[in-house]
Amino acid sequence: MSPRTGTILISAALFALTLGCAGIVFFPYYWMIVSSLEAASLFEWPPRLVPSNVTMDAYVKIFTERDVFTWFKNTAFVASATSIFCTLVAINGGYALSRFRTGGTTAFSIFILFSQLLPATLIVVPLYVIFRQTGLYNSLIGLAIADAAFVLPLATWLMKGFFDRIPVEVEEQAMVDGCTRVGAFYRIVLPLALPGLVVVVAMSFITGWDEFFLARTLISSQSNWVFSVGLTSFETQYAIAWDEMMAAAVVFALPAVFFFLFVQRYLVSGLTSGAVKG
Amino acid sequence: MASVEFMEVAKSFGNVEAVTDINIAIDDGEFAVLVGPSGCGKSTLLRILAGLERATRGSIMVGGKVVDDLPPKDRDVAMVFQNYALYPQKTVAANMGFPLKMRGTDRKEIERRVQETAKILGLEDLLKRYPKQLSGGQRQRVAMGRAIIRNPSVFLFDEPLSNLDAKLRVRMRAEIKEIQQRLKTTTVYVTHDQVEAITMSDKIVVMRSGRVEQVGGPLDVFDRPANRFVAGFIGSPAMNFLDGKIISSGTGPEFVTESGLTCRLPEGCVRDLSQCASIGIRPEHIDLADEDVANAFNLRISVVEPTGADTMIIARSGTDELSALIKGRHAFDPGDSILLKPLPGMLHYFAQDGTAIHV
Repeated sequence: MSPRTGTILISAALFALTLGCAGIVFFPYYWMIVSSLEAASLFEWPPRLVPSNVTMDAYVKIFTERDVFTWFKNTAFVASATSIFCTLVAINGGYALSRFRTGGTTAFSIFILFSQLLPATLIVVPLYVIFRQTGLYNSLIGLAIADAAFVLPLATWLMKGFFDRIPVEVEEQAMVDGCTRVGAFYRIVLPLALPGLVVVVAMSFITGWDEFFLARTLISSQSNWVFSVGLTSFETQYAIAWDEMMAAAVVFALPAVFFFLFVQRYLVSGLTSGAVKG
Repeated sequence: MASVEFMEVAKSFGNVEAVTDINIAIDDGEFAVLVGPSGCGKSTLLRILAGLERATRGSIMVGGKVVDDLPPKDRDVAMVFQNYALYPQKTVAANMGFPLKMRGTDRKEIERRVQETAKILGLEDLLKRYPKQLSGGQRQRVAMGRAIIRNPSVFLFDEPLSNLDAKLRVRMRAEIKEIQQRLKTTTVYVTHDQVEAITMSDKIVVMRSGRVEQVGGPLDVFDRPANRFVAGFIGSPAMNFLDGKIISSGTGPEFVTESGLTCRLPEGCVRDLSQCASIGIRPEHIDLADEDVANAFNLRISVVEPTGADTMIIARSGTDELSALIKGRHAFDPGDSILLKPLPGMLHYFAQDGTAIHV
């Protein structure tokens, strides 16, 4: 076997592996779409990968018989609010951890990270009690605050990491050039941390968008349901409307997909490099 | 334009005193260089002057006004950092115009002054570029442009040339000096490079371990160093030191080193002979001696470094070592013995504690 043949074989094997991985990742989505277009095929064996009787009935049904628009509106609100809360706190917190060194800074940073390790199930009961007492229970703002709280530790660390990479001289230069510290932060430092900012916005938005556990616990009235909670309503005591559930899932996923497509460019540069050359 | 005065300035970080008892007066329009080895506190002083650090004690005056409580933006100082600190997301023009924009200058005026400054610095063709598209020297110029564009009272430079290659450094050195002479703006310049310090300054402040060792004109500091540290730090190649003592023999005072080298000294070189614990000789103040005269050292050559115009010789005897910069080219070999004599009147004398003994 010549070295050239070897190289070709290795490339082919790698390509096959990549294709296989992509298949594993994308199949559930494909299956979700197929199932939404043809209810009967879901439990057949062997599975029918290409639907034969394509129908949009399930889509028509969810828009006419279910409160999809309300779920949509509520979810969009919660996701946006989560994203705004989280970003505002994370950029300021991350900046403070990055730039101000006082006695407890390191300990506090680590404490924040540890709080990320606590599972939601551990906190949800106290959260429920607090929310009932403060009137945040069954409110979308309340849910957004709870969601934001769960993303914040990681988001704060991410921002801290981005701020750490921005040379402090650039900021000091801005202060000598006529900015206050706050001015230097917003005019010079924050634009340089844009990739990080996009990561935090995207991460918190998606968390607010698809979070289920807190939404199920902290929201009671149907008019405040978000999409993830709404999806469970397709499962009743006697039957599960799989085609409708899958159709709703497709509708639910689409905005998130478009959102990612839109921010993907920043996201990749944000997650991989984030480096700022002075 | 303004004078600058440090009065009893001290700064500690936790328990570490970075600078202590700093008293320096810099006149209006003067080019002052703070020089010293890394960690001597020179950058800290500059940052205190800029308002980026707060002095623990003491006070700073700019233009006769105490500025201790003013934030950096209100001190009317412009600073050039070692890594240039250009705003990566802004074009060259926007970088240079930024200080004016922050002062509310109108757009037309900013544009005009950016053009004018770019012309002075030869940056006209680069105004639309971003910092990452510039070479080191160009970035340096943009940083300079951003400093001079707003016509501040004081320029502050924090090792601005140390990221440039040797050739560019020499050119930028001359450019900075030229611009400063044209604008006559008071300048405080920090460097660890004593050649930069001597060539650029009107006044040198030599620092060590957070203290000022000597303040003076560049040639003053070179010719009459206050102590062994300044003598060894200023001047390149560095001054030679020989430890020993002066004895008076029948023929006059004679310096005897610890390893037994002797050298006749001129009559009346030091008032109190017993005070002198070491002598210093600059390498360029050493010449070849033809015969074994009494004022010459008999040494063995260990290294010969031809520099082209001159020949650098490092020679030893016991623990004593002398480097000598001899004019012209000479065919010496390591291991040869050589007779070196200090030029008359060019010796420096130091007491036990290192302070210079001036005659």
